[in-house]
Amino acid sequence: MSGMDAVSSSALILGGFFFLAGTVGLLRFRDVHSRLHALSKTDNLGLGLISAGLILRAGSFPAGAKILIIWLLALLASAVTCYVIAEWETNHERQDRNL
Amino acid sequence: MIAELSSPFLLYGAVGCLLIGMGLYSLALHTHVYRRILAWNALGGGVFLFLGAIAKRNAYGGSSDPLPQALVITGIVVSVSATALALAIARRLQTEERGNGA
Amino acid sequence: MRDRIEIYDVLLVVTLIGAAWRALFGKDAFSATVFFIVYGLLMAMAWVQLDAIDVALAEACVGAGLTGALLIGAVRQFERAPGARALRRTMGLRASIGALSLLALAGLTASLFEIENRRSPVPPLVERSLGDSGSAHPVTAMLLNFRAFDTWLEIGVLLIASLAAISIHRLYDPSPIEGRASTAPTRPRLQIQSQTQPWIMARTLLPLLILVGGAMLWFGSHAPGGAFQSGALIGAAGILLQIAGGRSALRLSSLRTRSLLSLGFSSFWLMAAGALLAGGRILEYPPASAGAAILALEAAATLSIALTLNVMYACSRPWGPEP
Repeated sequence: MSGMDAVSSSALILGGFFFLAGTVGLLRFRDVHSRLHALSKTDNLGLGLISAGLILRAGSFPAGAKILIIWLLALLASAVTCYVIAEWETNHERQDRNL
Repeated sequence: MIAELSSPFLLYGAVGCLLIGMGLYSLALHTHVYRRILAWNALGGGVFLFLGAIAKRNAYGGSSDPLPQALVITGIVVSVSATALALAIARRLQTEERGNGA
Repeated sequence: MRDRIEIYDVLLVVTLIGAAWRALFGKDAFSATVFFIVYGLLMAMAWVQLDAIDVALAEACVGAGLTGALLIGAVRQFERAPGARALRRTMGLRASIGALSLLALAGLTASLFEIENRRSPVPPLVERSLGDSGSAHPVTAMLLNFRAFDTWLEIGVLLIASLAAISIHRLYDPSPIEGRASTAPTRPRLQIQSQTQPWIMARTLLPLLILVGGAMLWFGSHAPGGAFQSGALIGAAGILLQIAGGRSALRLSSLRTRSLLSLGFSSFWLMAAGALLAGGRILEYPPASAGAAILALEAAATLSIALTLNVMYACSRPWGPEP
């Protein structure tokens, strides 16, 4: 396995580990804010590592650029949705919809 | 030529059938219309997967059979418009039956 | 071409079934809706595994994205019926419904083994006629040329659904008859709350969505893409604007809205009438300009589809001032 492959594979595995850690936090924390905290940090970093690993494996420059743009868009979406969920949780009460 | 056990056709076809079964069960079990809309969508998704599995099986060259793909794209778009209309009608029904505002 | 399933397929399928289970049978309707969106995105990944990229794009944009937006907007407006019948929940009835569903499921799965792998006559036909069809991509050629009649009627279905949704929404007026005009907004304005997060996201994504949507329309002629995916992306841009603006600025019954909604359907109609008058059959494009005809039809359809999705989202919002 060449050096590039080794770096890429370790980035992918490390990114997966971060996602795993975030999911454990999602399942174990009892509060919405704590869960958001765990998810937003680990998911962004995990996605960044997975994107880095995939960029190293990308065949051409446009493909790598597209993966980078995907990561940046996911960062933006994650930040906005994290804020919106936290703001809703703070200011509104939870309603159970048992339809 | 019957499918061999490790072909994608069998796996995704079985998943499609499973989704159809789950959708039918949910459709019959739940009484609230919103749950039934979700069940209907899952039922449709299962049918589309079944079609997609057949498309993959009839593959030629580098891609799968385009005819079921066109049918499924049409189906997805029709399904979303049906869902939008069903939600509108259901909301209106709820208002009319109970007399409360939105 | 993948002919064997891999570990990834099995993992994907297990997660897909799990998400669908939580979507259908979860206790809380809101969490069920979120799981439904997850199920839609996983379905898109499954389509990629089935080598159907156009369907994956359509499922991700329209099936997961737009249906999810509609459902999330709608789930908060439903309430449990006050006299909900508890009859359905008895164990005996559940067992019999479950048994019937299992029977249907088993029958369908058994039919999978019966389906012989006949060589479908369609792919060689498509390959033979692809050069004259006006598009280098088989699915686009199928949608816009070989089965253009289906696409025409599908756009008709979109038109009918949007008009019906507008009617139901417009006629809904919770105020009493005497004060009918009191709560009607005379001219809806787009009120952008500029420091809010949805607007921050919208102002970054809007140009990108329109750019990628337009590119998708062009790609449809030789790569996965086409009118539906492009229309869904541009429609998503409009929906983001609605979410950021807090009130829909669409004048739902205006002439402009209605004519744009029917643009897709009527351009197919014009093309069909033109082909008939020129002596050919319905929707028979002249082979020399088939590519241009397909592109023109797709552009009209994209505008219609984008506006239809916006109208559907606007009609799913509560009528009147924001709660």
